Amino acid sequence: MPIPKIEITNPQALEVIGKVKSGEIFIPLTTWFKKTKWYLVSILIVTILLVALVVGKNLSEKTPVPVFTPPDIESVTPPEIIDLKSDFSSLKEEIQNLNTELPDPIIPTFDDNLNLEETVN
Amino acid sequence: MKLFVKLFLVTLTLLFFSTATTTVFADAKSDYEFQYSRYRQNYIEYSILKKDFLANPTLDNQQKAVLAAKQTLSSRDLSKANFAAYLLDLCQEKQTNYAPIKPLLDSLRSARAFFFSEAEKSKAIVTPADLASFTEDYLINVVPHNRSFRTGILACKISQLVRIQAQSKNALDVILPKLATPLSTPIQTRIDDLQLLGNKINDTIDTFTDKLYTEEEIGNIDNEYYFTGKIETIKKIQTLQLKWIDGLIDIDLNYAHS
Repeated sequence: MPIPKIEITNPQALEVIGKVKSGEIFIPLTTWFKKTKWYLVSILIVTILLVALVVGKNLSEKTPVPVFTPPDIESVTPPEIIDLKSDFSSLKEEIQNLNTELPDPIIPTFDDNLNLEETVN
Repeated sequence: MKLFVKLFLVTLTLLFFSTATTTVFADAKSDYEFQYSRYRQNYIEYSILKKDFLANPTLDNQQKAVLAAKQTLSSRDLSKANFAAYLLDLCQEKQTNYAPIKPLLDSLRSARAFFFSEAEKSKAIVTPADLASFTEDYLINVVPHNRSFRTGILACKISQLVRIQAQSKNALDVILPKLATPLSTPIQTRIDDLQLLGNKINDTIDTFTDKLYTEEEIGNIDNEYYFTGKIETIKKIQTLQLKWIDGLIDIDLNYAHS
């Protein structure tokens, strides 16, 4: 099936096509690009740096941090103290617990002189 | 059948009384504490009622005061009797059979009997005159029995010290067969030293006990500082006993083998 040939007759469209063909339409774009080219370059560099930082961080997290331990220094191990207990330790405790204070038990106080007479103080 | 029932009942009764007697004997301290708290309550009541009677000497107030005095007397003498029993229990639980303190224990027994008897006697008090007469006699007779508490306390302490001496001697008798024979000279010296120290402690206890019966000490018995010098002697004996047991434990740990 033959493709029908489209003929553009709209004057405005013809004008735009003419500008495109001559490159006139790109002049403002080229001008803006020339004006802001250093800004764009700066943004590009910052973006590349940020991307590099993110990638570096991810890589560092995946790699385990090597642990450096000092070499073993030979030390003298204190000898194990064995708590020797004699069968007679309880007797020693009994002697230690002996109450040497007197009177033990305390002697209670009593009134031996109970009567109904007036007490003279 | 009837015979079996009778036998069963008799056995039950005997069992009940034997248990009850043991409980009473074992609880001399709680009996004393109970009677002493009763005495304190009764004494407060007696003091208030006596004051009322002296301020307002009516027959009613007199009867109330005499009754309160009677109750106080009874609880006082029961407290004292039970305190003597408590001290006797304390001394006897050590089971030392140390003859030199026997007179002190006899004094406590005599005091216990005297105070029980006085508590019983106080029941006959009815009038203020009875009360006055009772107290007059009591003040004359009570002195040696009150003193027996002081010497009884010392008897208990001596009993404890003697008990420790007996246990120490037993400990040495246990150790000796465990030592390698023939005994080396250093070990023999240490054992000789222990025996010498043990004898020294025994002598100190004997001297301490004998001194209690001297006229000077008996005359000093009511003194406020009666116990002061004795505390020092007991501490000295305790220190010697500790030194002795340390020596024995050292031999046990280093030379004896089980």
